[in-house]
Amino acid sequence: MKDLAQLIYFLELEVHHRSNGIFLKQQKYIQDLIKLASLAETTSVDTPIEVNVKYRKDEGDLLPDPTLYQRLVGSLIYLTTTRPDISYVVHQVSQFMSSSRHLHFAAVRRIIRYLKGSSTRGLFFPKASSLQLMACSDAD
Amino acid sequence: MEHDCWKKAMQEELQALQENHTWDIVSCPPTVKPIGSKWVFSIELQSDGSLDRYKARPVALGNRQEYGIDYEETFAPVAKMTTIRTILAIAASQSWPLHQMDVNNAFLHGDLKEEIYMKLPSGMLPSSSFDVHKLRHSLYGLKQAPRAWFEKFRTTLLKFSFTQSQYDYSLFFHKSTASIVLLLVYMDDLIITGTDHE
Repeated sequence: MKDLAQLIYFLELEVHHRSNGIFLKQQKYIQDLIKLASLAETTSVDTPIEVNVKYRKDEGDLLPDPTLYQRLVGSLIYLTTTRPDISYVVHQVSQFMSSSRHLHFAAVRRIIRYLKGSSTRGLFFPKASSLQLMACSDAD
Repeated sequence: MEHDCWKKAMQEELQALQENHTWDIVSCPPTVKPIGSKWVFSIELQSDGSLDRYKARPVALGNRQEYGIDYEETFAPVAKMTTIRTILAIAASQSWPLHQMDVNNAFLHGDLKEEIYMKLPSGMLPSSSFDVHKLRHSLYGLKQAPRAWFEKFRTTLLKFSFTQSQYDYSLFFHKSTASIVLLLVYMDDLIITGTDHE
């Protein structure tokens, strides 16, 4: 065993202790993801997906090597830990892990450009929040 | 000069393994074919990128282990992300202190149910070619290493009258009349919180 210390970094989650609560983010993880996708030089976008698009399994050309696609989407799935706002889009692109096409890869790049402009966001757990369950929802 | 760094790293690691009584050196039973092992070398850097230390670890060639002979079950649980968030939310709302801890060489602490004989790469130890290392504790590379470690951790906590959650097997808690301690484990990383301030 070693060093009992205040929790600040756990499984790539950055834990910030504030007077009004705990803030959880994955800013470093996002920055590494931007580098992995070679998108350091691009601009950011305000939304993670185009309006009214539907991605298909068989549209466009297959990626010659889907490895990078799979790594990026795998990382995006882990990012949903602190970023529920990308849950929907990540679910969309995660459907094409085995037949990844250029159009799907463009969608992944867009998600990452969205993250680029919002990398400081995360989850805030307010001190003042009661532990009372207020509402519960399921997909249907 | 580099060579000496690596030699020293290997000697230090062997000494640590001997202190841990990881293995006994025995002559190999005739019916047993010992599994192989390799040294894995790495250079550890500090957070500012400067050299921390040269590290050498012997790893068992788990890819040569046979199911039913050298190992049985291999599953080991890890904490669910939902549990991590829930614990943070509770700690925030109750103003509990949050701590983290990591376990050094976690996999070396596991106890082995199976009898495993291993050959170390030659050159480092003065031993006859008939001698093998009979493992007493788990070692990096073994298929069952994560599971053996988790089981060791679990039974130790139960001895300290912790309860294992049935909703997330990585969560343990200890309740007394006025206090509660929550402990969440992800292999060798721990989150600890609760009402006790010690």
